[in-house]
Amino acid sequence: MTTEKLSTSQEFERQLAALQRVAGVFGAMRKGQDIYDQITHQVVDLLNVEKCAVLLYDPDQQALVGQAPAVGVPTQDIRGYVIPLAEGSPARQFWEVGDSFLVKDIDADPVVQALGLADFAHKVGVKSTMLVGMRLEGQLIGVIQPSNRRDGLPFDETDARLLTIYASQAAVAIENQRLYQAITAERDRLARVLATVQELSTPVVPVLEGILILPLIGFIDTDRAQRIMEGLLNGIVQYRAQVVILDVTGVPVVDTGVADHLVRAARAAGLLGAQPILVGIRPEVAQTIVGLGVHLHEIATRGDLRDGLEYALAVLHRKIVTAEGQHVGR
Amino acid sequence: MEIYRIPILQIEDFLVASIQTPLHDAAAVQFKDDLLERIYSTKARGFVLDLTAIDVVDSFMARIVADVAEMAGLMGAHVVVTGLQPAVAISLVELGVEMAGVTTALDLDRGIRILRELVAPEREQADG
Repeated sequence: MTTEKLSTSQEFERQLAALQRVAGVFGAMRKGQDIYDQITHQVVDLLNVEKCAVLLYDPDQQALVGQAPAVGVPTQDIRGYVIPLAEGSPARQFWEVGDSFLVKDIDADPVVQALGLADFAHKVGVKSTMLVGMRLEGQLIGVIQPSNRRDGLPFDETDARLLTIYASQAAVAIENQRLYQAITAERDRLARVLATVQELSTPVVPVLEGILILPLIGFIDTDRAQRIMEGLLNGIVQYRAQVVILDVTGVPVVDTGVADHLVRAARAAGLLGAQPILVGIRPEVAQTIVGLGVHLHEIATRGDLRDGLEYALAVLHRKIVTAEGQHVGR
Repeated sequence: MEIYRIPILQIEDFLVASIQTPLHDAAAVQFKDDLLERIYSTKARGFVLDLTAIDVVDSFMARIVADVAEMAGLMGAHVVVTGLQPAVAISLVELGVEMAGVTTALDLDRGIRILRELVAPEREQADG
């Protein structure tokens, strides 16, 4: 009686300590290190077993698929470890009802035999094993499978309970990892898109000798205004431009800041001996500019790109004529 | 110590000076004196100040350039500043130092063309 009490008490303490470890290990999860590596090693310590693997449910295959790395199972073997869960599979019941599935003896278990997994178990040296489901919002996302207790005994209900608690945490950790990877990938993709947009955001188009066009599209902030100015000035030097047409048709908002940037760009262009022309000021933009009291008097303005180009040609004492010598224009 | 003097060259009726190092007090004063003396003696109609070799223009130098332009203008010579680097243009605009009243051109070639355009109508008037 006393011995029994003692062993019950010891068992209780052991479980409590294990639960504390479960709580602790997730706090110690390290980012970057492989999550399956961490989970399997933690389970090996927690249950004192020889082997452990994580399998995730793959909706396309309708099967649980082994994830690398695992403890005690070579990577090339674990990748080929698949438990079908499709309709009619003997493992289907596990998917629908239970949270844990104990296999005391591989050779005697009818489900293992029916799935034809006994050979695989022998190959990797599994004698007794247990599968515990990881559920997220009621959905089974995978299982944790420890094998071969170090004391040689089969897995019992206590092991199953302990691992069930662990598995619920592991499910969250795996989901977090998956979300983290998804967010990281999305962030990298956006960074690439942004880099492309920045490259495309400052085009300088030499249309005719001595005339440059800057078609500005999208919002202009300080960074972009700086790049626009640099692109404009370098373009003036490169193409020996005498007139630069700033086309703001595609700029949705012109506030004091943007107007200021435009005036600066125009002045800097003037210092390099190029005359700036501002075209494409839409009605609402014109209203904003006047409403804000911004003065753009020092820059020549024209209604649209076509008028701007005609004006630029006039500045250069040139005009476009037909082959017969007739003037082309409005 | 001898003051560095900037060479002033003549092309047609125009004078050309290229500044290679940042101008400071004594050199700037010497340059102003030399230039105005040359304009007086040669009856030059225009002057090109080339800043191609200058990477940094501070507010002091910008004022010297504007002063020289104004003085030369008073003596009947047009002044064109050429060869401002893009970075120099940006910093002048950012500083708000814009050399008001100074004509600018991309390079020496353009500067001379502008001077010819400016001077041509005056000559016609004089001839007519």
